[in-house]
Amino acid sequence: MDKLQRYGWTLGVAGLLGVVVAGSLWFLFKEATQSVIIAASVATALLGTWAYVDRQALAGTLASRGFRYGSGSATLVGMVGAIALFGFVLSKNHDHRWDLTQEQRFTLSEQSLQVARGLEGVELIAFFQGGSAEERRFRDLSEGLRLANPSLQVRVVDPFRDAALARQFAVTSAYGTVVLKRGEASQRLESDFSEDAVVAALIRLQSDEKHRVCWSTGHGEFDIADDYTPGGYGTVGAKLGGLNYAVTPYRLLQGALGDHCDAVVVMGPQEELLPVEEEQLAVFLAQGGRVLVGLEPGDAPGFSSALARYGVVVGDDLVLDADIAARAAGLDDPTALLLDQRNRAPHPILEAFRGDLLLQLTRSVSFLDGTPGMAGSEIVRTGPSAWAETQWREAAETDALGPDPSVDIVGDVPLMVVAEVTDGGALGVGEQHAPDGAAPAAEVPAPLEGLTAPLDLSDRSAAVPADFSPVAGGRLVVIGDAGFASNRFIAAGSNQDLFFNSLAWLVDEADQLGERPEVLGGDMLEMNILEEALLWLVSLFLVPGLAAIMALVILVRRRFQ
Amino acid sequence: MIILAIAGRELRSIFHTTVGWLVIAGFLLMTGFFWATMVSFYIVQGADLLSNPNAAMQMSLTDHLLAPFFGNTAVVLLMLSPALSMRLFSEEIKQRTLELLLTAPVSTWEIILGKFLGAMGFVGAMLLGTLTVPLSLWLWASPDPGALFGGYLSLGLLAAAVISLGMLFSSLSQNQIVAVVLTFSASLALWILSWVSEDPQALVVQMSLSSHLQDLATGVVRLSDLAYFAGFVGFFLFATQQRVDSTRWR
Repeated sequence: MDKLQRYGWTLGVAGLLGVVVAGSLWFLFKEATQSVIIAASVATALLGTWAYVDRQALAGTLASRGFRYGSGSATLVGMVGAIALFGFVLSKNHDHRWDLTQEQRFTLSEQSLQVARGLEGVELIAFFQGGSAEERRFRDLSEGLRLANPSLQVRVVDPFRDAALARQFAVTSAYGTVVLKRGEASQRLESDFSEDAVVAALIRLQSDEKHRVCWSTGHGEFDIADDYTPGGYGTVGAKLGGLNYAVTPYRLLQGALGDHCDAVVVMGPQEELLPVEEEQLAVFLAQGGRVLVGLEPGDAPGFSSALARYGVVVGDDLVLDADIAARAAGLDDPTALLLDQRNRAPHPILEAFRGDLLLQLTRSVSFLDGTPGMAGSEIVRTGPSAWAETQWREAAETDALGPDPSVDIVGDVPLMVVAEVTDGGALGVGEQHAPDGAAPAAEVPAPLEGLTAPLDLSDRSAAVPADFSPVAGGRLVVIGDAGFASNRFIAAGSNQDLFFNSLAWLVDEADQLGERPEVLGGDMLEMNILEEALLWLVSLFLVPGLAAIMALVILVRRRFQ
Repeated sequence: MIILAIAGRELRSIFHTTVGWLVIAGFLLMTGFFWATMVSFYIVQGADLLSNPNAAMQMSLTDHLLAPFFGNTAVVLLMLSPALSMRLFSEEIKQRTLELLLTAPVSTWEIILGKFLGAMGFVGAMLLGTLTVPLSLWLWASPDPGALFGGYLSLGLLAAAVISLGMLFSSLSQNQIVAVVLTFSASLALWILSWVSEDPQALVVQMSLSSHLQDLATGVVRLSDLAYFAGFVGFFLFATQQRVDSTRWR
């Protein structure tokens, strides 16, 4: 009995260990399994035996001042722990998030929320490795979408934990997979899970039709497939492909635009369009077609002049701006125009976004009121400090130029026009519309294989089909800058919104008029070799070295004290 | 005022030792190495992508430079903070100066908070040395001030949590080695706890230090993260106060 009393404490320790083991097992299995019950029973028995064996010592301890004070203290600590836990749980249930980033990159854009609000019967099944950065970001994103539309169903699945479901959806991507379902229709994302990509997939899923966009080629236009050079339009092409647009490079010469295209984009032609091609566009517009045109200064003067039949006057000029505020913002080039909300007229294309626009090398575009069959307006203008310089070709340096009110438009230069066809029959389709001055001396190319182009490429009437029936409702957007949404400028301000909203307005996609998430990234760090060496020197030697010198000073001072 | 006086005394006592400065030098050497290496890699990556504007658009200072830097610095801080807290009470207990301190006309809370602020001041000085990060970024690029603020806030909160935990262990033992080992083990366990479960809402993940720093390091401040750190620090400081106070009646 003496021995049992002497070593009774070991029973207590073993009992406590048993409690820990039982608790851990319960924590792991989340239920009272047989092993948990056995461990708990053994622990209780050991603790009970110890309490019996050491009852005298225990009674002494319980009666001691230390125990009384200590137990009070432990209770207080427990209470504070409980309060801390309660505070955390409360904050978790009513969580709030502050996005401190400059670009609000973790806050959903207005367009994303708008798309989410319009969703019906959509389910997102996301396969991500638990705890991965992709999973965390997707949870954030889906949380925001669900706040906008609580009917949206979201399931995040770990493919390793639910292998059967992963197999069912053929999940193989190492980065994760998101499957978006709506009835029988589904979309799939396997590498890009950004807000932009998910929202584009939702648009595709929700949209019952695909808009056919014909991208005009053959006149030196910006290349929709070029995602490599700064002047390409590949970024736009990729984004359009991700939405409910089917973009096809198209030779206007092929004709039959109405059969193949819901909208035609003529972005930056450097050479003239053939008379027949101009007429194909006129036929398309007169029959309710939608056309987006972007023109660079000096390019395709004949085509630019030909737009006058729609009331669109494209100036043979270059818009320059002496705006001090823009210069202060780092725009040293007077051909660069920084346009904020003050420069915009109320229009669905522009009202949907708030960011600034950055245009460079722009020409004036205005609308001639009273044009037969057309109604339009100028929706983007410069500020009062800009002018449309007509003598820009003669000057070697733009700095040497100044506004001349007798020939230049000075102040509030119009840059973008939207127009609607009110009477297709008034457009004079098939008639000769030689622009003022010389007619375009376009070379007649060899007939292309399989084309339905008329044989006489200079005969405008040949472009008019036999069943031509003009209607109202055609839409035309003309911008005096074709490169504003190129790879180089797509990330600038709200340029992407200007392009995509223009196209959305043309094809009547009201849901897609909005402000998209900013094109992030592109943060370059440019240092020369000397600057990089300086950074290494400062980071690795100078800053830690100063602290090391201080350590040495103290060591030496102590030695000599 | 007394709290600040105690904090100042603590801070001076660290800065008057060679070890204190060597700790700062070591911390700055490690973070400086991380920074310089990461910047060089980022520049090389940027140069590779220069000919492809579409791919170059994926380059982000916040995602590819700042967040990983703050992540690495947090791990270094996790290792160094126990060394800062180990001596706060162990030394006093060993030298038998704690009793003297407790008989002075100051409350236990003032002692606790003073020592805590002193240690935090030292961490602040260490982080101040890393200011070459934002400075060098602003010289050559445009970093996101929100992400920088979030990153430094995450480091400050982590240090506060580990130091408060370390103060409790320091008050439990007169042996500094025991205190530092216990603090480091507990901090490391709390750090890797999030690895146990893949469900971010699981209790173990919510208990983990690291899971509450991820958003902060990218410039997103969550109320629940702030509540976690406030509760964590408050609980361990209170537990330390109770432990130190127990000296009065034991």
